[in-house]
Order: sequence, then C-alpha cells, then structure tokens
Amino acid sequence: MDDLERELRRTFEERASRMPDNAPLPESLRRDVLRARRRKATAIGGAAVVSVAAIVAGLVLRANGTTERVDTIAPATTTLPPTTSTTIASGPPQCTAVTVTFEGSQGATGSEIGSFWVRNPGSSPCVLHGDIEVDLLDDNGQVVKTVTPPPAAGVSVVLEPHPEEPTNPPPSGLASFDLRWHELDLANGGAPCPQAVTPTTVRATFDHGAAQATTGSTPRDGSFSIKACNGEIDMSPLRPLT
Amino acid sequence: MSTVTSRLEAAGGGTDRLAELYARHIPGARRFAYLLCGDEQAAADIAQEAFLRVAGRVGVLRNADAFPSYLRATVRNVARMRARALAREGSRVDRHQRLYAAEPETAVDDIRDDDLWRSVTQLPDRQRTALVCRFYLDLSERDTARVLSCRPGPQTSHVSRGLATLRENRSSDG
Repeated sequence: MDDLERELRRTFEERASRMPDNAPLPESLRRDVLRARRRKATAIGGAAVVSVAAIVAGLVLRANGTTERVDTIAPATTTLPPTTSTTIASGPPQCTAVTVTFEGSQGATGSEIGSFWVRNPGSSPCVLHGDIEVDLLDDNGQVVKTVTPPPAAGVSVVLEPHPEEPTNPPPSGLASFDLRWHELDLANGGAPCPQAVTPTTVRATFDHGAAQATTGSTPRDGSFSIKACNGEIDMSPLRPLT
Repeated sequence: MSTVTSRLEAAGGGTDRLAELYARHIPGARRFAYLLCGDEQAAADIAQEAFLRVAGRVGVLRNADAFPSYLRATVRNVARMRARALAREGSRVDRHQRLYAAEPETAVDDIRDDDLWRSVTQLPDRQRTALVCRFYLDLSERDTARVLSCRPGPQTSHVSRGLATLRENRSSDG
C-alpha cells in the first residue's frame, strides 16, 4: 500500500466519521416500509390469484369443450326461432363505466403517496384488464401531465357491483392505484420546490379507452392536494384493493 | 393477503426487527452515501430512501445476511439517480454554490483544505464508488462488483484508473 492509498483510507475514515451514528427508526419510515411490503404482498397475491384462476378456467374449458356455446335470444317482435349462434369467452364483461375516488395521501421523507379507488357503480360484475393511463387536469380541465405505470405491470381485476360509494374499510371487489410525487425538490437537497405541477382533478382511462372516470374536485376526505415538484410523478399498476 | 404479510413479517420482517435492522445498518449506509455524494443532508436522505426500498421488498429479510449487500447496492443506485437528476436539471453548479454560501465553515473550507477529498469528489461515479468500496468498506472483488452492478473484474480497473487520476491531480497540484 503506498502513501496515496493510506491517505485515501484516512480521508475516507475522517470524512465518514462526520455522519452521526445515532439512528432511531423514524415512525414515518416504519409505516412506509410496512406499507410497501403490504403493497408488494398484495401484488404477488393478486398475480397468484389471477394465475390460479386462469389455470382453473383452462382446465374447466378443456373438460367442457373449448368454449361455451350460447344461443342468441330472438327479438320479441318475431316468431322466428333462433337461427344464429356465437361463441363468447367466459367471465364478466369489460367494464365500461367506473368511478374513481381519491382516498387521501400519506407522506414521509418528502414523498407523498395518494390512493385512488376504482368502483363499479353498475349492477353486475365487470372486469378491468390492467391497462391504465392517468391524466392530471388543471382547473380548466386541461391535461398538465399524463402518467402511466411500468409497462406490463397491471393485472386484471374483477369489479363487483357497488352502486353506493363504499366506506373505509373497503369491501371486496374494488380496484386501486397510487400516485407518488415529491413536494420538495429532492434533487436539490429537499429545498422548497420552485416549480410544481398542481392538478385539481385526476382522470383515469382504462383498457385503452374502454372506460374512463374523473375524480371529483372535492373528494370526501377534503385533502385532495397533489403538488408534484418539477412535474415528477409516477404511479403504481392497477391492482385489486384488499 | 394479510396471511402473506404476517408470514413474511414472522420470517424476519416484523416491526421490532425493522428497528433493529435500521439501528444496525443505517449509520454505515449514511457514511457510505456521504462518501459517494459529499453532502451530509443528501446522504441521510439517500440512506433513508435506500432502507425504505430494501426493507420494503417482500422476502428480502428472509436472508438477513444479504441485507447489507442489498442496502449498499441500493445506496449507490439512489445516489447515482440523484446525481443524474442534478446533472439533468443543470443545477449542479448552483447546488454547490448554494452549499458553499450556506455553510462555508463546513463545506468550502474543508474541501479547499483537503485536496485529496476534492479530487475524489470530482472522479467519475464508478471510479469513486470503486475506491470507496476498496479503501473504506474493504469489500471483496465480488461484493464490490455487486455494488457496481457489474461482473467481478472491471471494478479493479475502476480502482486503478481512479488512483491514477488522483496521483495525476496530486502531481499537478504539487
């Protein structure tokens, strides 16, 4: 080891010793960690459920033939018997009308995570196939930012009918997604943000336009406030709400 | 789902275990982050974010021995992402100017007085990380490669090139 290497070791030791040693776990960080684990466990569980359901459906279809044949119903104004038939895939139909509500946000260490619930207000179950795109809108309804989750990350979610707005704790059969943003300028050491995107509503588009919904400008918890520093905001995939 | 979570927590990720992991590993992570970024406040933030990422991963804590390795690699990645964000916004110079203006006694003077540290802070990211892994953490080649996300071998050239640059700077300053 030469002089430079010795001096380098000494410099590193001296510099590193400036960082404090005492480090109690902040309560906010504990909550964030546990929430992250729950979220990932939910994603894993959701993927497992979908996989098992797909396998079971495949086995059932194989046992019963390839697909289910359903005769169409003849119009009531005619006496002609049904003359046509078609094949349909099993399972609920694609959701075409959903509602999205902002359920509040929690933050720590400069980061905020806002949770959104997706509900089926209809009277029968329907399915979202995991594709989602979120537009952040200003007061005039103009898009100020569009956010999408990581590619190929969403899973199909069957939405049970919930004509009434659910309360916490949520019932089964809802979907959810999260938006994450930083209110402080983290790239600048956590300084106050010089320029932030502050949408007033959020519009979610599902399955390439099959369904679309916009949050109310006044959510029921009254805390709707997104302030994404430098427009940096990302989102989770769509997932079942558990 | 709660069963999955509780099973994972029972496997080593419970809240008390979390506090223990934090107390044991966060000081080292902060020091490592500080040597990579040179800013105390940023280092604390980097270490905290890295801890959140690693401890938040389901299943990681089943093997507690792997935690420091994961944490080091994540600290380095978070620090690198921050540096990229700074560079992207073109505010790195401003950032340092503000830092110097705000804390002259702890930032400017120290760096000016310590030419070697100043040279280290100006090294490319991979060379600086490799030097810190080698001369501060005393990591093996394999562990250093893991931090650098590369195969064992190239990191020795990062160390060599970093040392060469430091020698060159020293001779030119002298």
